[in-house]
Amino acid sequence: MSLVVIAETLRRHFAHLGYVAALLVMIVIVMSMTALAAPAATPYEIISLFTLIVGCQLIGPEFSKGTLQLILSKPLGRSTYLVSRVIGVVLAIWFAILVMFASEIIGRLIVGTPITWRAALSVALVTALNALLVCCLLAFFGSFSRSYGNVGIYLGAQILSSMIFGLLSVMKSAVSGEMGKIGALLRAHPGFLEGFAAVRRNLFPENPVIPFDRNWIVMMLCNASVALLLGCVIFSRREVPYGAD
Amino acid sequence: MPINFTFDRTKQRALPVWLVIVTALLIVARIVSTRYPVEKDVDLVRWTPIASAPTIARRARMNLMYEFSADWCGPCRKLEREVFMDPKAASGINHLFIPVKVVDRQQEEGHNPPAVQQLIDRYGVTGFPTVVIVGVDGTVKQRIVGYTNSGTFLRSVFR
Repeated sequence: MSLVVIAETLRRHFAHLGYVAALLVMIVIVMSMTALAAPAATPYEIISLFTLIVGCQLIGPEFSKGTLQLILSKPLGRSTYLVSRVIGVVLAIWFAILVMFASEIIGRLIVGTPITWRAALSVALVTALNALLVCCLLAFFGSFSRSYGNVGIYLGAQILSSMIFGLLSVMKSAVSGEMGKIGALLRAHPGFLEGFAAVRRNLFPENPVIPFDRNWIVMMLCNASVALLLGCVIFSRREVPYGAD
Repeated sequence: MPINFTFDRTKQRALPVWLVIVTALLIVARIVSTRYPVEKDVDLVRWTPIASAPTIARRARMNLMYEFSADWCGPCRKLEREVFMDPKAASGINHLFIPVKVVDRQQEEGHNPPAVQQLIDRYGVTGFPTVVIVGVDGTVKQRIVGYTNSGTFLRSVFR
């Protein structure tokens, strides 16, 4: 890990007008939702979008702008750089989550609605771990793509996998015509659909049913770690040609 | 003595050892954790298994209450917290019905157990949560789709 890279990544975010503006908007949204007694999870949904916006700039633009060549001319390991960038970005997002959490608590104290600590902390933890996994996946996708291709791959995979899974689930019950043939094949090999579902569940996990579900927490940390390691493997072997796109 | 401005680039492409170790440990932890599933918060409704519920209902001459839900369904969790974990509401359900929980696994596993799929098809369930109250003669007496709050739900169930 390089503390310089982490500190510089954090500085870049905290000094960015867009980041500060987004934080202020989030505070207003959380306060309004608290006043309207919305469920604890509702305001945090905006963090998903925020994570994608912040996370897409992890490594891709460095390739395209040509700044990566300059950075890698320094005595800094490629993996160290990638991991430090991910940690910096994740810390910037976690800071936003912390601000939202504090806003919710203050909002509830002002309005006088009861604070359910277990629910509030559980939602904040789930959001933080989701942000970690998304950032690691974006780093992985960014390790073999350019510019903002990582976010395109992420969203494309999410939408396509959902569509294909839905289609296959429908096909599975079909009994006549061409669809029936595919349906028979899927019924004969249930492992295919189960495997597909397992991949989807790991890449784009649903929120846990039980608050502080330790198995879900381990799954998120494990998947994030694997994605980051794969990202490091690809990034450390990738050619970084001179000149921007 | 001349200053050497070069640095060892052979290590620039090396993988961080700590990340490899952490990943390996997390994979092991994940494999181990799947053997010890976390128990859900216990609700107070005495759920009856799908297979034996119709026989018990016939013997007791009580209506069946099927609750169709899915693990990914947010309103289902709200229904569990606000109704099935509420002692008064749960007691009312236990006294008036033979409650049966039917959990859809389509999204997680790609298919449902045959008994679950049969009930979903029989009662035409398309969304979650859906609560279907079935009489002793097998006719559908009440059907509640979705969940907004405990008051509305309990009024529909106990009317």
